[in-house]
Amino acid sequence: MKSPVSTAQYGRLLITYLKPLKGRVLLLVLLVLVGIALQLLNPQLIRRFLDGVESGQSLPELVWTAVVFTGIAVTAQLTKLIGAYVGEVVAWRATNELRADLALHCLQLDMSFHKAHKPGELIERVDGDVNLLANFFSQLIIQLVSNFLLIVGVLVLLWLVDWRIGAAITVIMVLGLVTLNWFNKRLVPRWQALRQVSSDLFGYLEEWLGGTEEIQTNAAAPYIMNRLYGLMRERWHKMQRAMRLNFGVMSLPTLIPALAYIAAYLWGAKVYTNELVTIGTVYLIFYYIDVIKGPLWVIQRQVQDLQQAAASMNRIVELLEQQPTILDGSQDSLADGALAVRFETVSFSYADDPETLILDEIDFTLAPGRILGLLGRTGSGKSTLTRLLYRFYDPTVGSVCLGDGNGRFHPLPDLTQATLRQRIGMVTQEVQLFHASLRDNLTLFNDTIDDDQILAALTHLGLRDWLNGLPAGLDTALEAGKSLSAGEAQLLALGRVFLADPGLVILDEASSRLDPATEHLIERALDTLLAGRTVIIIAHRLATVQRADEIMILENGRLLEHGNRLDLVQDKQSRFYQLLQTGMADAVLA
Amino acid sequence: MIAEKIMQQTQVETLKTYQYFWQLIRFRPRYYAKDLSGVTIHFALSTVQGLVLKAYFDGLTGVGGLPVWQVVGVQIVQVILVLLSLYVAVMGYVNFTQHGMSLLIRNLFRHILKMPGGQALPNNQDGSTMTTGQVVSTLRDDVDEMAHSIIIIDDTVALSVTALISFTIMLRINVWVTLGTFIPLAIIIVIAQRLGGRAKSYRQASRQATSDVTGMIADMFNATQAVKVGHAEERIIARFRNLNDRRRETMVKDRFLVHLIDTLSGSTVDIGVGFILLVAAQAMYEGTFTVGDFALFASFIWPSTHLMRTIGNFLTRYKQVGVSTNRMEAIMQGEPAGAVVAHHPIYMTGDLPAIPFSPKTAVHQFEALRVKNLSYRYEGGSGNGDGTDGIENISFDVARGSFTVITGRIGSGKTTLLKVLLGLLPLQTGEIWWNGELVSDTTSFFVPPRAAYTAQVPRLFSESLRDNILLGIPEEQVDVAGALATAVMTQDLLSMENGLETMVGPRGIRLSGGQVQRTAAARMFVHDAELLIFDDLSSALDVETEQQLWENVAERMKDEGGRQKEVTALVVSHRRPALRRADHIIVLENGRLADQGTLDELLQRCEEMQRLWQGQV
Repeated sequence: MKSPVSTAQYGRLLITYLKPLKGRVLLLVLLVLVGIALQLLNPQLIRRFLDGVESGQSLPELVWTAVVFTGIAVTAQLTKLIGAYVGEVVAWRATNELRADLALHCLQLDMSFHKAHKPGELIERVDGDVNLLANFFSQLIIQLVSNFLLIVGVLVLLWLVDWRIGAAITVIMVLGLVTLNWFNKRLVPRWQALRQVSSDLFGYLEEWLGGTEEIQTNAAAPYIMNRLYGLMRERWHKMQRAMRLNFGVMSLPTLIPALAYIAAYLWGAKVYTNELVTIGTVYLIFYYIDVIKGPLWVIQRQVQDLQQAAASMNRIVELLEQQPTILDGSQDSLADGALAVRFETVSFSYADDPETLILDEIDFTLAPGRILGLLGRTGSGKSTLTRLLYRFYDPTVGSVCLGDGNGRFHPLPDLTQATLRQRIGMVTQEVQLFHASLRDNLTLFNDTIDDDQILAALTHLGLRDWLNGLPAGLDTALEAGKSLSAGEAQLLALGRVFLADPGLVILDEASSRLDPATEHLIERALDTLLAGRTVIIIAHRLATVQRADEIMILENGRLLEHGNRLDLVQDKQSRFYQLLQTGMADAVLA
Repeated sequence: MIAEKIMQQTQVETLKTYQYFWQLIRFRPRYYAKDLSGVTIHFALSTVQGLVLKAYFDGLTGVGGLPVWQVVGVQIVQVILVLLSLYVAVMGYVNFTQHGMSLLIRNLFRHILKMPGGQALPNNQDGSTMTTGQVVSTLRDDVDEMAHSIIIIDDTVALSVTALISFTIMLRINVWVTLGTFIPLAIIIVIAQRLGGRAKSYRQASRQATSDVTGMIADMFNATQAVKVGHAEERIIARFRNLNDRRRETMVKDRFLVHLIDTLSGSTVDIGVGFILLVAAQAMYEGTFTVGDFALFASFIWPSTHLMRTIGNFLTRYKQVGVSTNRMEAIMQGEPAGAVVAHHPIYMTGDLPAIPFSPKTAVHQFEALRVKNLSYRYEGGSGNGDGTDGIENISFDVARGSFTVITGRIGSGKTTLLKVLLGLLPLQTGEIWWNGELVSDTTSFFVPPRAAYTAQVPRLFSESLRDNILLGIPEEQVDVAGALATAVMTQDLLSMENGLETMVGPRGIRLSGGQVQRTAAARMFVHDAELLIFDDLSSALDVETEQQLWENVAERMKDEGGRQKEVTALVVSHRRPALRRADHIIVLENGRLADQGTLDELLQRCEEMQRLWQGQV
């Protein structure tokens, strides 16, 4: 467990994001204070009115007092409204800034971080938690602080009227707030339990809805229905438990004013009959008690939200404190042209499972311009090997180097990551798409690449006809998993890499089968893309293996075989030869 | 036939909203009555508060009223009753809504489970199938909306009663002050409610902007690798900032309007007191309106304005419920309108129903399966997403103890054929005969112990491995260890710390694709069914594991002494290990039967088979 985040860290976070909005924040504070002042001032006019009636003031005087009262009431509301507006602006500006920083921070963290945190979870951090925080800025703080100030203001005024009634109501209020706090503390775990069972219920429903085929063919409906009944029953019980306690909280805004009223009845009867105060003053007490009724409701509701916001803040600060373990190098250029690759006794295991060697003493060199076909079963370490080249991870033992055309090798940690990623292109099995135009998907939002360059690249790759077949050309809006077939997605990925013009291409071929036309397009595009570059192919098709100059076979993380493809094809002892012969090729490649 | 019915049913039939409400109220009338009576008494007692204040001030100023100790006594009784009635109302509310929502969820979900499993989710208006997320949102939000809208009726009734009492009291005190105060207040609130219409379009804009932002976040974290590879971090964030700015603009508008409406309709108490002062000044000056009367009027403002607001809210909610019932009825495709609120046990107390388990007996023994002229067309010609249009006129036989393979290239209709056979897709035309008898309801026929099935991409649930395999059947009556061994899963289990108790899913471990498939196979074997149906079991398995698995299946197919062990396998595959074992191969091409026979025969005469064998497709 990590230690809880300190108040100082909260403070730093708030100051960082509120500082640029100084002016607005000041305005906000001012508006809140004016609103409170008006709310405190106004009841005095009722006193004046009632005392006026009692002392026989003229009618116009009375009406004037009533007009002023109404005017102040309207002004107070307007102030509140403008305050709310400014509050929203401040909240959204501040949290948008935080959202962007947080998202960038997450993107810059290592792949091991992304392996451990699913996209849904990160959406929850970057948007869900930050939203709660926005609510915290715009509603909670303002409302809680202003309502608290209002209560304090009322109490001070009551003390000024008569210390006895002031003291009585202060005691009642303090007791009330202490009780409220007592209830809230015990309520929090109950609400959490309710939220948990509720999210379980709908989580399971979603799973079951995705598994209707399984449920039908296993005749599992009675079992699943029983699970559903159980979850719904539990939700009911948790709700009952929470609401029983919550009733205590809900009763306080009724109970506190009632006790205050009783105090006021007794006090008023005593002082009024002794002619120590006017009738207007007695009524003033009741009116002030009513003024604090509203704030009690608000505080009652929002103290709980406050705890939620604190939890969000905790998670955000924690996330911001995560540091990438892969540190940037300093060398920011690599010679143009094809790159060489060298693995020097590289071993690798994931940090969370150091026992299992994913790669075990891999040693090889690939000369510039050569094409390496990488074979092996799922889990043999092929993908990991390519990920090390990208420094998604650093090897546990040994080092990975890139060589320029002049025979110099540079260990990857010496290079900046920007350089590394500019010079290596990658086509993954599953092409990751954005909900954006085809153009943005090709350039990855790089506006400096103009349409002519994109079109030239596509023409070069033989994809112009394909492009012309799309409904809106480069403006075609893409949707992940929907608008492109697996083959088309591959084409797009090839275009991406070609535009980046790297010296080393890593190609993890899609294992899904493609229609012949698309396959043909891909073959042609590959001819162009791979020419003059160093290439590592994780191949799934025999046709692609045929492109390779060299073949490397991995098994359980070890290098089983590495040699020229043509030599291996001739060598009857080689694993590659056996693979081709025994008809198992489709199996290993699939 | 069912499918056609669904297709025609583009317009969902619904009852009137109040009919749904009535059915739900009748489901748990006692809980409902508790909420209604509790909340009515609770609000009505607030009029007593006004009367107490009046009695106090009148007593103080010597124009009638009560002595102070009586005032205090009445106040104490009032508070106790207010809190008691609140408690009754709150618990009535919790029990009623929880039971009502549970009934709705039960009915909706049970209906989905009754539909053919491959087509259980209803269509959207544009003809696309709803996603599970959409259905969950109906199960959560629309169900919630309906149950809670009923509760607002109670508030409305309670506040109306309260308002009626209040106005009677106020009118008897002073007609002009009453009208002069409340008519302007009513006008303000009506204006506020009118603004609500505009709020809707603002809300839509802000929701859209929000979903753009969350979509962008989802994209960037789904494609983190692509972002890193393309060194596009900064550029992505720049785009993200743009979307954030747009959301801020729409959000501030949206929220400001909400604040405005709230202020107009909610914070009118002070302004209302101002109106009383203005209107009552004359009467108070003349002495016909006492300080006690003023105190009473001031304390009645809140319930009255609150009533107007609640009625406004209720009208909006009542309209929105229409949208929710529509969405719920869309899920209840094929049932008469109103089935979603039909009364059924929901087992909120007492024992859960026993799970039926039928052990294999002679009745279930499989002799022969005959498929005659089976055709299936996907609705709207859209196919099932991978280019399959359906199947046409397919006939074949499966004999007891045989190993039958259905093969063909991607999109040739193999999976569709299996799904129609299993009742995962509705039977459109054609006949299926089991042991010489026509199967009338395919959706419930091909289940254990007659048949068991493993899908191409099987689903596991977030339960322990044990529960995933058993899915409710009694463990002591089946052979879990044997099923695991047959599924080549024993080794994997040994490497897991908690063995069969290992949790699958987000709160447990993430199984590899092969492990998922073999767990699903174990789930199939544990039923000890007569006919085993595999859809491309091998797609996530390596060759050795696949070989081993077929060996084990073959083992199960043998007669074993006196104990009847002979099972039959029907397998979709295009891979050699399975094809080599086949007694009978059915070759599909473009949804039609290309040929059938043994491997040797087909390699001789069927071109498509030759291509498949050579892996050229």
